[in-house]
Amino acid sequence: MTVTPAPLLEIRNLDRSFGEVRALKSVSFDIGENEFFALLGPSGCGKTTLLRVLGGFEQPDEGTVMLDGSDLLSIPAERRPVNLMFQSYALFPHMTVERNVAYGLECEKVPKDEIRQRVGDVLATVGLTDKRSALPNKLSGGQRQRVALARAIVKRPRLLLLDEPLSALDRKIRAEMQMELKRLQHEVGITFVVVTHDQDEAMSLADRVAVMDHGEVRQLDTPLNLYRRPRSLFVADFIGTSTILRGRRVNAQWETPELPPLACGDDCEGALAVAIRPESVRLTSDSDASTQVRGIVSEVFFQGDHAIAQVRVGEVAFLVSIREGTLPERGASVGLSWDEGALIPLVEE
Amino acid sequence: MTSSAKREARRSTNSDGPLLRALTTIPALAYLLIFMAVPLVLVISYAFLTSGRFGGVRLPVSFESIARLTQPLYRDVLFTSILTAGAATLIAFLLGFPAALVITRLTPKWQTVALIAVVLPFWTNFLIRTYAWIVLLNREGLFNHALANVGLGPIDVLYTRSAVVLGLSYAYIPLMVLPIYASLQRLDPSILEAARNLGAGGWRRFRTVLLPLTMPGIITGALFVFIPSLGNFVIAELLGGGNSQMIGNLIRDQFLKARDWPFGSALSLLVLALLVIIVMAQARASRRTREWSA
Ligand SMILES: Nc1ncnc2c1ncn2[C@@H]1O[C@H](COP(=O)(O)OP(=O)(O)OP(=O)(O)O)[C@@H](O)[C@H]1O
Ligand SMILES: [Mg+2]
Repeated sequence: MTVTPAPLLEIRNLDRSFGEVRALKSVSFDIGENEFFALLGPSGCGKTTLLRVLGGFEQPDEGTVMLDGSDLLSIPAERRPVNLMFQSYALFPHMTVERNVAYGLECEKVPKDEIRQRVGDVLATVGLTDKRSALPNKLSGGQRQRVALARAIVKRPRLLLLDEPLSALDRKIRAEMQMELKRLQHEVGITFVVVTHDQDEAMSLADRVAVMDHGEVRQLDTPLNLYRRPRSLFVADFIGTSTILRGRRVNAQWETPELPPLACGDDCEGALAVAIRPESVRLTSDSDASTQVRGIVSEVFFQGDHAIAQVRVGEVAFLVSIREGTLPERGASVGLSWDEGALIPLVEE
Repeated sequence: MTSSAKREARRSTNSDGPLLRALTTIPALAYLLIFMAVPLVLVISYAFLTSGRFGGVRLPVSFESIARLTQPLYRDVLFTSILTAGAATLIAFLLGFPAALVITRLTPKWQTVALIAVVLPFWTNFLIRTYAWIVLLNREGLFNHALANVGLGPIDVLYTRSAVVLGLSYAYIPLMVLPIYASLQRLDPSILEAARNLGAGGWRRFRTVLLPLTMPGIITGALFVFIPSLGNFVIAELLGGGNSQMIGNLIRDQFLKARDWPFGSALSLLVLALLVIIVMAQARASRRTREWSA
């Protein structure tokens, strides 16, 4: 996968504190042209603060941001080629859908005919042509969200920032809107930065994801790599599910309390812990020579196309994904096995 | 329990019984009757009677007082009163809106302090506060001293219409600040940020977002300042000297000096009619804002 051709946005060493709270701690990364970038992290980790710095509503204590090679932070908010879709949508309640969307173009003094044309096009894109004369309070949540989106993209910004764009929507509309966002991004060719605390959303939408925690970017990678090669306990735990075994590598084997030593590769040298994803683990029969540990099935969670079994080996709970065959009974004694490469080394907390 | 019985039970707990209802509504009705309806009926009927020799009214029914309202002298007094009260309202808005805006930007603790400071003058005597302006504005007062210090003046502000406008806007500005503050408080700050993000500079944000969204508060504040200003006669008397009569002075004089109660009542009705029109216009305007604020 090719990423960041020429960086559109270069963020360097951003710091921002609110009294005792350090909302951003030396945040640095690049965002490429036309990239769909996601900021993912638990509540209060500084995602909104970062977007507000980019939008110009918050000045960082330290650090620089370059957009297209020129200093973004010295431009006042109203003149930045950056549009923000607010967490609360922030539609103008006294204006119709059409006037909400036209507002940004009127500010730019775009000719009236062109405004009408562009507003019409964008409303068609988001499927709100028949609601053009409605006031925002007459719209459903999903429709409001699309107005907010239309209002932001009609300006054709260099960078579109979306703060939890889908969090107010129920599951089904949410999935539809995710598809729509992705389609829009291809269609209009704008660089998207989406904030979310929903890992599935980040993973399914984004080209790259920055995982944040307590104001720090803990890891920045493609969704696939984040899932396959999390660097830290935090990321392994935050993204997907896994069994985490703290311990250390001794004589090319992973030593962890309560389990026999497990075969592991050289990359586990120096790690704090290893993670094992449920789909890397197999249930084995009694006679299977590859069996590494034995345990008791304590729970089975049926998930539709697969099931997750929780298998207790002493105090350790392994998660096993089962895609075919019969599901084990609770209380059954089973063997578990995995390939050596299934152990993902975690080098940070 | 059947569903109709349930409904019955609910109704009886909701309606609180006729006795309780009477006990709670009769005082309010009595209040309205004694302090609103009776005076109103009196004023209306006095306006259509003949003046008594030493005040009061007597028969026969007469339309003379109503007819006198159309005389240019009185029309002019009404007109300048409207202008004076309007100017006071405008000044109160021009000072009160920024003040309310600044207050909403303070931390919650300082907001409370500022709001108390805004209403504090209401707890001191109205006359004393107005006398204070005489001290400030007269030829030897603080205002002219300050002017002299920068090489200007002295200016005779006291006993002019400007002094009346100033006094009125000073007296009623808290009634402008409070409703505007309340509507600014209700405004979601991200709406203004959204306007800014879409490229609107300060003036455009004020004109297209801040002003329309706080209009209900502004209209309320304007009415709260305009209505008492129009009827006020104390400030005109103390700060305006002899030649800055307001309609309020005229009405008072009809009752206390000229002893022409019917004409005083007719003038009062005129003011009342004007206020009814203004309040109706306000009700229409607020109906429109309710449409989007629901
Ligand atoms: N204006 C402010 N004043 C004081 N503290 C603030 C302010 N804005 C943010 N913070 C603090 O900074 C931290 C990061 O806040 P931020 O809003 O960026 O989090 P977030 O990642 O967007 O969270 P969420 O997912 O809940 O929206 C939080 O601890 C928050 O309390
Ligand atoms: Mg947030």
